Amino acid sequence: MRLSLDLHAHRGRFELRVAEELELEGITSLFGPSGAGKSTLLQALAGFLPGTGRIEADGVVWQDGRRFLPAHRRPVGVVFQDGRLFEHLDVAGNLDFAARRADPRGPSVRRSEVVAALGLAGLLERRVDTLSGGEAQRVAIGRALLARPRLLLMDEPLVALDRERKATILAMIAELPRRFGLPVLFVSHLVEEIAQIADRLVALRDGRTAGQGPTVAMLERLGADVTGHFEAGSLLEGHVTRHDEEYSLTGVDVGAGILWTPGAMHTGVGERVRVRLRARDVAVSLRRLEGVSIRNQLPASIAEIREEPGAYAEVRLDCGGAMVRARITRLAVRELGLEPGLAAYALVKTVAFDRRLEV
Amino acid sequence: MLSPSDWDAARTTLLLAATTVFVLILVATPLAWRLAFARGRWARVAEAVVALPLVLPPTVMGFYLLVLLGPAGPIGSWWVKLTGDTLSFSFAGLVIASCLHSLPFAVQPLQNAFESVGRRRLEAAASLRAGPLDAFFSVALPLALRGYVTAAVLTFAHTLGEFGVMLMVGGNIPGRTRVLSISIFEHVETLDYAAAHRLAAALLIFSFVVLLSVYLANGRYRTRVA
Repeated sequence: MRLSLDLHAHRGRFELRVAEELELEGITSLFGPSGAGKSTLLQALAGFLPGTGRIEADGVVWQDGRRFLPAHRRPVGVVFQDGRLFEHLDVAGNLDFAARRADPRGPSVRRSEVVAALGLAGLLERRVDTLSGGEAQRVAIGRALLARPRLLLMDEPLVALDRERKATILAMIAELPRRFGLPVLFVSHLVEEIAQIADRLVALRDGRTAGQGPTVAMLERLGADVTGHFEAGSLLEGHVTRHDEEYSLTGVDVGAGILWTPGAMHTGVGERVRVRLRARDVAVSLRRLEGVSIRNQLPASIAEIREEPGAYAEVRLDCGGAMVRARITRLAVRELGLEPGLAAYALVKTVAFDRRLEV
Repeated sequence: MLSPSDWDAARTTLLLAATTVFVLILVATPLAWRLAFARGRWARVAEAVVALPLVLPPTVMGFYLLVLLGPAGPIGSWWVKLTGDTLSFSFAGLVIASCLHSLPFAVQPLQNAFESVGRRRLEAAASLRAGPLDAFFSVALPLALRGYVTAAVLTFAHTLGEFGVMLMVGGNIPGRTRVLSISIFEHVETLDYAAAHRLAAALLIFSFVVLLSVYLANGRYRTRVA
């Protein structure tokens, strides 16, 4: 779906001003810190904010100065932060609510397929106020799909969930575009979430867009002002080379070498995965280290050193074409004599990895 | 036990209360909806107007209504032209007066119920392609059901007990506008305390039973939810 936006909205002192063309395919993440205007933009797309400017989708005007297509006529499904299931209906009733009103022109979504994809079979008879947070969000996603929208909007749907549930549902969300043939616009302020599932990224900051592009390239480019100070990091793509069952490790070939990541993954050997490294978890060494517990040592050359005000500096290491960021002290830069062009090793503790995911 | 004229009054009273509930639920629903979701100063002004009958002496309301509904009044004269009958001292006039007088008892519970349904759930309904009317009947109404029960019971009970407005607008015409509360007053005036006792006790027991059954039903509902 191609969206052409020229939006202008006020919320108290906050101002959203977005003029952008978005080509939505697969999973697009709307990304930025809290208060950047992500939810406001999503609400405008859903049709909850009249009088906020112009939206055109695939050549059809949803709203402009004169016209306003109301929310219930837009081919858009919404998964809210807080689920918003209907308490007077049970889980099956909530799904039926959507299925009865499904858009006949939308992508074909079969109920059995939705129930299987989101693991809802055991929940159908339950009252919605007995569901856990994760269960409720899975039902909410299923309900949104059954209305057969041509675009699915998700407004930080995982924000209230614990880490374990988050990972399960992220994996389900990653499947949606392929399984049900619709693009997803996923709002999040967490790099960990979008690094795992987003194909493209639209960055938002202070009510303005701060660029868009493929996720890996965008995360590389974005500064700490958008990603959040401690979230700065890098995303590597590679493929699984082997599983070590005895020590419960999985090797991922990222080009410059093999990274050992914890846990025996479900991913089969040869499949492509993404691995995210936070800059603060990467250290720099001038030579390969022996007698050290750190398993991952990637040969690299220093591409750039950015000294920040204060104690830290960010070193960008070129590991066979993949860029890895390391956040170390300025003192270390000086004492090791680091400078661009120098050969070095990027050191990563195996325990530092976020959960990986298939791509 | 009751005299034929007391039975007439009881019939008139029940019919009036039932009609008032029916009309008011229809009228109060859109009004309460607007008040629940409207923002700004005019909504607060409207709320104050709706609440007026709570504090106004019934005779003040009755007096203004009599002026409005009387054959010389703006509404009364139009009614005479339309039906050939006067609105004041008629059953139709009583219904209008009683609806206005009980308005806050219907609007306020409904407004509270709609507010607790909330804008967010209606957004969810809209995102599932439910139009405004569809969303009202399939989401708001079932969730606001307790508000409707409260509104109906309060309106019904309030109409049973009303005296001042009824007397001003309806007068005391047996079989047409004489309601129970007026019958009791008349029995007392004529010093027939026995007859007054019978009616008063019947009204007391009836009101108690209605309220009790509502509270019992509500309580059962609450425990089922919990």
